[in-house]
Amino acid sequence: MNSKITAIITAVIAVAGASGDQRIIAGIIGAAFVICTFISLPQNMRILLLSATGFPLIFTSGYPAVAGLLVIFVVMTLLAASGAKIGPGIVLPVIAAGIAGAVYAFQLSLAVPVLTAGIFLILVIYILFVREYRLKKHVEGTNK
Amino acid sequence: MRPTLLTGLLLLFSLVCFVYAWMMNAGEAAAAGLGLLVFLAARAFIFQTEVHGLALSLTVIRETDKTILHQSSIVNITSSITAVTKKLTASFEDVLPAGAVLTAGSPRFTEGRASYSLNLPVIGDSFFQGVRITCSDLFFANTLLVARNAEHPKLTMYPTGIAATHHAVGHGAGWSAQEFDRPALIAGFDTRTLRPYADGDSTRDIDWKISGKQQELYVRLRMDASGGLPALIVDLPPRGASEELCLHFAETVVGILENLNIGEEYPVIFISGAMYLDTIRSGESEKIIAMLKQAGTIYAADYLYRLRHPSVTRRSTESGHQLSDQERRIEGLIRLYAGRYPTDFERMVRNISTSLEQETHITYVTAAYGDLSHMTYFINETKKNKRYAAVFVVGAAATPREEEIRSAFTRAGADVVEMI
Repeated sequence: MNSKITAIITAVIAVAGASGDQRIIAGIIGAAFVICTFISLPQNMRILLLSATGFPLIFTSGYPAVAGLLVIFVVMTLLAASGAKIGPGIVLPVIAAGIAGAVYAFQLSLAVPVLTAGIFLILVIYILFVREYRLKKHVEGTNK
Repeated sequence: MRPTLLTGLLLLFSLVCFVYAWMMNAGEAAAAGLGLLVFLAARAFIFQTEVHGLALSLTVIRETDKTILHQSSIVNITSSITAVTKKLTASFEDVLPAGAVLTAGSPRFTEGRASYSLNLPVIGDSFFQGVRITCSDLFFANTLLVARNAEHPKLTMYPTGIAATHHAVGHGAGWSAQEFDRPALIAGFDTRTLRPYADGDSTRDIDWKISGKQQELYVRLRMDASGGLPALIVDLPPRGASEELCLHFAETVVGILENLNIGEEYPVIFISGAMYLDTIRSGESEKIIAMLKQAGTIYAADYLYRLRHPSVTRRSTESGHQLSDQERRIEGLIRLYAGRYPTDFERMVRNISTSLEQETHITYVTAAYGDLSHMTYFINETKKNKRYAAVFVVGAAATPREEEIRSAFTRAGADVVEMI
């Protein structure tokens, strides 16, 4: 996936969905976000700048649904810029994060963020411990 | 799995988002923080998958110029690997057998190849430990030890300088039911042992009869000693020796016992510095092992010069120093008795020497602690009685002390000094 296309879509959504008093800021940050994908930079610097401009862009959204959409597109842009091959295994968690972000922005209750944080913690534990353990087991199993 | 600096910064940024969300009650900031975490989780997942693929794709081929080694021989290794790294940055390093000392080259792989030389002082079979992979991408890094094909090639080291006698090498058909190394047996207690043939060995040394029986070529190792029964003197490391050294020491003693394979009756004498501990028959393996377990726990007497020293007479010739009454009395006593009575240590060495009437091949194992005077005295005593002295020094190989120890023991008269 091309990060330039997702960056432009992100900037357009951000400007269109920004709250009235923050549209100009959204425009400026959105432009910076798009520029980061066009200029030639070392990859780690590009990721850092995209993060530094992309996530404040979410702050400017005026509607919960827009916040959710921005989470999805900013993360997709970052993943594309980092050279990841986008497949269903990545798109689905990103969409789930977007929905969770939209629910956050609604600020319905305290339970929702706590629940999301819990699910996320399980995900981190799974990657860091279960997958790491399985990797070691698998490698040791083939050490013959 | 370790995060890189970039991942650390992104996590910090995510934390800032959550703090902002909490303080300003902004749901959008919490959503942004969550988005960052999801991004990092996705990258961690991708990294893990790629590391998994890399580890499974690794193949290693090692070639050595020899697999059967003498104690001081250098082995040249050429290793080559193939691996699919995908988008990871990976470096590979051969992990040498335990105890091996790198003498030339580097075990790091460059363009899939590594050439190096090593010396293997560990008696018996040794194996490579595997290949260490250090891989990273922009966000994470990991180090894995892949031990696939680690058992190839097997390196076998046969120690030299150990006095062995005629060897029981198999079962005969006759009433005696045991097959011996016949030439050694005929020659009396010779100092010969057998090992499999290796490239470079003289064909004159091949023992054809045993090779025929074993279906494998065996060569006879010739030693410098001229015959006699063996004895083993073990100088246990005192308190303060590292656990690794004690383990290495015990392995060496057990390896030597296995090689002095002529029966269960020869004496194994345990000392620690100037202290005599015990004498055990070589067949009493449990007692020997119990004794070896004491290594590193013995509170030994001081390791400084413990013999009668010429300095006691020299002091009287020095001028300009006013001695007190007490000093004068002590000096008088020292001068009176200097050289007249043996010290406890000298008496102990003499007793051990007297008890070894039949034994003419004395093998010492020591960690060479202290000023070495106890060992040089033992070696001196051995040579005075026209015995063969082989010394195995554990833990000094490739250290700054190696040369000092070797020269001290050689000057004391040791026939063979091996650094383990």
